[in-house]
Amino acid sequence: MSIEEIEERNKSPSVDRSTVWEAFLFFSVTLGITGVGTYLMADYLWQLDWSASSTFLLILFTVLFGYLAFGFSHAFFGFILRRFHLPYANMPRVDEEASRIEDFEVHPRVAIIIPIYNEPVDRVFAGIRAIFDSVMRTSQADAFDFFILSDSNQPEQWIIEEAAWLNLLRDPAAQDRVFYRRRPENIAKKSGNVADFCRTWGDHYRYMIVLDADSIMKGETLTELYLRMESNPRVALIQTAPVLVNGESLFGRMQQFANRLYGPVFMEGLGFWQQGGGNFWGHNAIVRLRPFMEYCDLPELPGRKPFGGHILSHDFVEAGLLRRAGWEVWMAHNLEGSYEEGPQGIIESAQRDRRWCQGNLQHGMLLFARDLRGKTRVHLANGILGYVASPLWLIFMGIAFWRAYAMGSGSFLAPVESSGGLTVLLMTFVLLYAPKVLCLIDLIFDKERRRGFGGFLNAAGGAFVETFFSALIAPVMMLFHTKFVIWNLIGKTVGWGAQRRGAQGTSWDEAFLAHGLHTLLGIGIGIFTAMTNPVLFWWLSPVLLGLWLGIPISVWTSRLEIGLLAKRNRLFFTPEESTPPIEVVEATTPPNEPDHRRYRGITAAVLDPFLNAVHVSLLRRNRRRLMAGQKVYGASAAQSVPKSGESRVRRLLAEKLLREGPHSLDTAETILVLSDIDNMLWLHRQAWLRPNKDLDLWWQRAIRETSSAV
Amino acid sequence: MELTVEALSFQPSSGNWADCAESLEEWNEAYRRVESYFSALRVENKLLLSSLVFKILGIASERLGKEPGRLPVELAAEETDRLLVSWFRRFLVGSEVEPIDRLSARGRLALLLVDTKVPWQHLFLTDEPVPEEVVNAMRTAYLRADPDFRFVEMRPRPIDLGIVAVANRTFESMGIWKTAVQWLLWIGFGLLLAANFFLTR
Repeated sequence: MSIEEIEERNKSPSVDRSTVWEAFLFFSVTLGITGVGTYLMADYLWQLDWSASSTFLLILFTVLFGYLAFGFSHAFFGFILRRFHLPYANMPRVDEEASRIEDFEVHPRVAIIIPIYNEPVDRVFAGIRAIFDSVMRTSQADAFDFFILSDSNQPEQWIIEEAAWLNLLRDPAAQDRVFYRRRPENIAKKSGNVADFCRTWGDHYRYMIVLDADSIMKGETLTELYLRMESNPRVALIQTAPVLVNGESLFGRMQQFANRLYGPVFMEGLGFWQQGGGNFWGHNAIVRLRPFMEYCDLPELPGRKPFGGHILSHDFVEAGLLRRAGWEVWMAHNLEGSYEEGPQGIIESAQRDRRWCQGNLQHGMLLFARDLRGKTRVHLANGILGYVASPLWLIFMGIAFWRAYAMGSGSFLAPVESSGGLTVLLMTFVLLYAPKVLCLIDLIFDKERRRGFGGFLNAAGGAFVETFFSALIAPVMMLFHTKFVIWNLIGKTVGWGAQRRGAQGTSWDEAFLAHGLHTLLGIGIGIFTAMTNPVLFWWLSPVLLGLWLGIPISVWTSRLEIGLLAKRNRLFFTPEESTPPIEVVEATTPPNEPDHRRYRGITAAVLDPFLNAVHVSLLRRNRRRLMAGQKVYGASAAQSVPKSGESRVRRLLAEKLLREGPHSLDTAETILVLSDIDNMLWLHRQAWLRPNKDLDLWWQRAIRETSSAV
Repeated sequence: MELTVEALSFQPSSGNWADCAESLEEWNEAYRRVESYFSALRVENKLLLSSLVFKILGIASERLGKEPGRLPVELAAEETDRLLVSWFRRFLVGSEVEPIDRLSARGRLALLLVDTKVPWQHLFLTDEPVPEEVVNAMRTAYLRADPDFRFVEMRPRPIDLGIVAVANRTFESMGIWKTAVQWLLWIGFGLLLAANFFLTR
């Protein structure tokens, strides 16, 4: 089958019909549950005397209850499918006899790309090394190339990345297989980084596998993805469901436990309704490059930030555009060997959510875009609601409790005195907690997984503690998300910060700064309700407790020692801890002790004869790339190449670097010096040729210690 | 081929270095500089390293006689650089016209890349004939930071935003939409509070 034939078939609307009943069934159940809940709520509100606020409450309730029902349906269908081994959520498997695309000029090679941005170098390169070794152990090793695509804009980071890459190349097997490229300009952030790869080398490969800096994937999983794509020529993208690993703090461990225990059931449900109309999460996924390059160069959105401009959460949109062009997007939820790391504290999690919130709210611009598929709109709406639900809950609770306060109820059981109120409350609890129970029941029937969690009782105990902590953390996250939504609406944008990884721990200062207002709000509401309506106070107490304890919970759950204590006691134990995959172990065990000496990168770039030569060679290569590809890079290419008029300034800065040391230059000046080929050559010779009196003490000392410079 | 002790020459060409206390520290500095550079080049053979240092210091000592105003460390570093570049010239194609600093970088890169393939340390900076295998390896050593470029133009396809585009154009045409939205939000928030207050009476 040729690629043109596939594209022609993709235009046929019959593509989705075979899988439409799964979505129909799924959303019928969701809507059915929502309908019953809404009816009961309306009935309850009616009994309390209908007012205009009742209408408002009912609308909010319908949206929020519907969202809960949507989540519950995932677990419900996932549980049924898993327990009865029903094949409806599975993507087409590897079929050696399947027709292949024949008219590609390239060998079906796979580029594994790892876009990085100021990430911890030791961890990133240990991960790449582990994945590379794992790939080399497979029978398809020849099909894979690795690209480290750096957007790092800190000089130290840049050079240390180059040194780490050089270290990788000491293995001859990695030479000509593991490539490194740094962009001088971070245009369009991560999506621009990936697009830059596609423009320059995309034509060499049939597929790319996108990894995050903290992604770990097994070689056999990568091979399986490759073979699945080869066997299913109408599939443009397969997303794996990464498992969280390396949780060190209590928060990190809780997250990875929840992900591991509840994930498989939820993913089965998700796979059921989305079928070939799946989503892209930006990493741990394989992408067919030709349609991706054809359809997924994203336009800028009209208007100003935060809704206009570059599309931040590009992955959802890319999946939507592939679907719009008729290609299938699948999730390989049953494929193991795909891992990532999560945030280790509440504040880190909130920082990440802030970025994601902006990206997801921006999707509001695309929600009604023409020709998008229905399932794409559901994915977009789900992402938006994931954040907007928080302010909606806040408003809902505010109105409900204000009404209760105004009514001056003196009975603790007032909200559940009527059967309608009690039923609504019970239904809400069922939707909230039944999925967790279903996941635990699922575990009972899966001997291997059960053992991985340290037995059923251990898993159940973990689930209980996790539920307790989640309930405590939920009000804090609700306030965070509400703040992020409001900030976005009033136009406050988020910078592109590197994600903090590892259990560094939240300091008390950070926690006071982040949660101080939450705590004050909780104390204020608590005092007010306790003095005016004690019944209301007790009903509010679960929410208030989370706010009062926000600061200590944030600090303690981020601490490494508490995480280790939990690990020793097998709390939140996961299968990856009971039988650690070799790739995960290797990725978290950097070969060398981390070196935190200041300016060690710049020092090595100047003094180390090999690193200096490699740096210059990379600069030359990058300059050639930018010059040769001006047509595809546009004006930015010319800007990135040093101009001759700047050479004098650069030489003066280089002289200053030698005479006054690396601390005498700021970041921009250092980047300027490091980006210049002639300057770097000159610096290397001058640093070694000059007598000590013409060098700053820094260089004198560095030359003495030079054998350990890198 | 291993380096033999006999092959080492400990005799400086000129015997006047380090013969008085004030010049001792200057020669020590020169010694440290040359030794550091060869260490940075990962010359692991200590006998070879010592021999090279002595050889270079000897030449530097000779030059000091002719250039009395110079410091030993400067002369030793220059000699190291000169020796290295002339050694690279023996292998690298096009080296006659290439500026010294670029040739040096190319040579260092070649040394790094052949390191895992052919042994070179015993031949480093010697006048001995270099085996063809090493010469070829040096000449063909090339760092591939990435595969050959094959540029492809990607063009964004427009997305018709539907009703959102109409709304956005309307806001944009107002020119003050951001302020207006902020005001509307605050007014909405106020109205919400007020409505809530009255409606729950």
